[in-house]
Amino acid sequence: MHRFANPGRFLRLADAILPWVCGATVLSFAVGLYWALFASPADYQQGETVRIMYLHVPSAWMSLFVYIVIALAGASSLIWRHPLADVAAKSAAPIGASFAFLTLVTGSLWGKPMWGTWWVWDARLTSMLVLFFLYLGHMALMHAFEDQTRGYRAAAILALVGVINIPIIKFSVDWWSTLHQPASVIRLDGPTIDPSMLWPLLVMVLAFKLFFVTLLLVRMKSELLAARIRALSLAAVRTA
Amino acid sequence: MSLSQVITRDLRLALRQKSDAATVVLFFVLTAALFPFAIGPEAEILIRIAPGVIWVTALLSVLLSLDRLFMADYEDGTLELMILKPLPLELTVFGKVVAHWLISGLPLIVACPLIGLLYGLPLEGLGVLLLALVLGTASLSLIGAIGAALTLGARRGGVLLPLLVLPINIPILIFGVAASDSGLSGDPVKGPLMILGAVLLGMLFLAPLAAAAALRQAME
Amino acid sequence: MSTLDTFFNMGGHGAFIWPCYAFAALLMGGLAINSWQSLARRKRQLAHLEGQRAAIKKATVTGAQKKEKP
Repeated sequence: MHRFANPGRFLRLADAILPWVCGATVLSFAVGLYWALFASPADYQQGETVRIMYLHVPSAWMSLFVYIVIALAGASSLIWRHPLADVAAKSAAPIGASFAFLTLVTGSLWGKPMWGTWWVWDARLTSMLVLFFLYLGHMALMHAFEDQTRGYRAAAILALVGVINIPIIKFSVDWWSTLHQPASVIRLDGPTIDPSMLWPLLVMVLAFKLFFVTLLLVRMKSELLAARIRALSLAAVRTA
Repeated sequence: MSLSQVITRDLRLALRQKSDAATVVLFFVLTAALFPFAIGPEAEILIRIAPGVIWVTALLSVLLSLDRLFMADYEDGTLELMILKPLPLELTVFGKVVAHWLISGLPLIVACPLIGLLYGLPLEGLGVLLLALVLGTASLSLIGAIGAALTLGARRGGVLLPLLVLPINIPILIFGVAASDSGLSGDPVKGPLMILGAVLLGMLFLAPLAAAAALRQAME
Repeated sequence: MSTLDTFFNMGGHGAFIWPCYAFAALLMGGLAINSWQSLARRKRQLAHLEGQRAAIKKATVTGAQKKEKP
């Protein structure tokens, strides 16, 4: 962990990895999209709308995953003062927020033909909406202070406070009777979904994960450069 | 300073400026009174929306006084003393939240029967509504304290605070209204009330910790 | 042509499925473009600033040399 604490070393590592993750992202999206749209069957009950699942489920999982990453980064920043943790959290938040928003939109478009309604205030959807607002609050806090460090710390605390929402989202379909379908992939007894749909789904999940890693690296590089620019500008003002 | 001293100090300061507490209750009553004008005086509709209106208005009213929770102490240097003194900061925060609830939450609950009157609420549901409000507004004050601590000294902190606090309050709102509705219709109220209680217990533990951590890093 | 039509129609649910994919492409694509552009902009800014710094350093060095001469 602390081998990568040095920004310079991180930047060199990021530069080395970036072309590969980027390529892997494009490749897995190509394979995943082909499989999702062309080479997989329609569902027995849901018909073609099941193809929305190949977007909705990966983005839902990713919105939870990214939030956990941000919470861990926040803990790392507050407890160990890891220098890259704050940069990682700031870079990851917009990506996670986008995934959460995408989950809500694709879910709504899936819900209309399936349940007959664009929205319903059940536990799963409401807690997803709260997650989206948590992301927005995190991003707002980051930018709310003159002193960037305060923004980092406050956002880290908020991220940790909001972690309670994650198990609520995951288990909401088990604890309350909701319109949303119960867990069919990550279950104690194993997935109940058919392999012909499970595999394209997993490929899409991989594609989304790689997309996240790629953009995270790009945004972290960008943040580190911005910090360097600020430092140089300050130094220039001082020597002028 | 002991815990009771923290509470009495805040209460005394608030009583000196009676306007703060009065504003909160006044806002609550006036806003709740506005809805019948907009929606129409039909008794059935009013009774139907009363729990929702009361809960949302209560939430917004409590929010009103939240950003001042730590602001005055922050500005005059008392906050630094609070961090340094022997009483743990978490307990100080708890004391301030208790005082805040006594000033902002309790008056709302006392004013509630009046709102119930305006909306034609039958007396049977009132007890459950009040109990749910006690549990809910206490949680609101606790969660609000976290938000107030996080946004201390932020640019446009006044706008940021609702953004942070309202989403986390949504579950409380949902269960609070569920309890109130059940109380009115005679359905079992134990479920939502127990969840409200559980949230309150959780917040009693979590909120002072989180708010104290936020205050400490605000003063760094 | 009719198989393409059937494909786009998606059993009558095309109006829901395609907007999903379009929205996802726009959102994720937009985020990616924004991230990359921001990086490129900062790279340029940094190169510019470091160029300035190098120029100033050079000027101070030659200036110091000139002072030593007479």
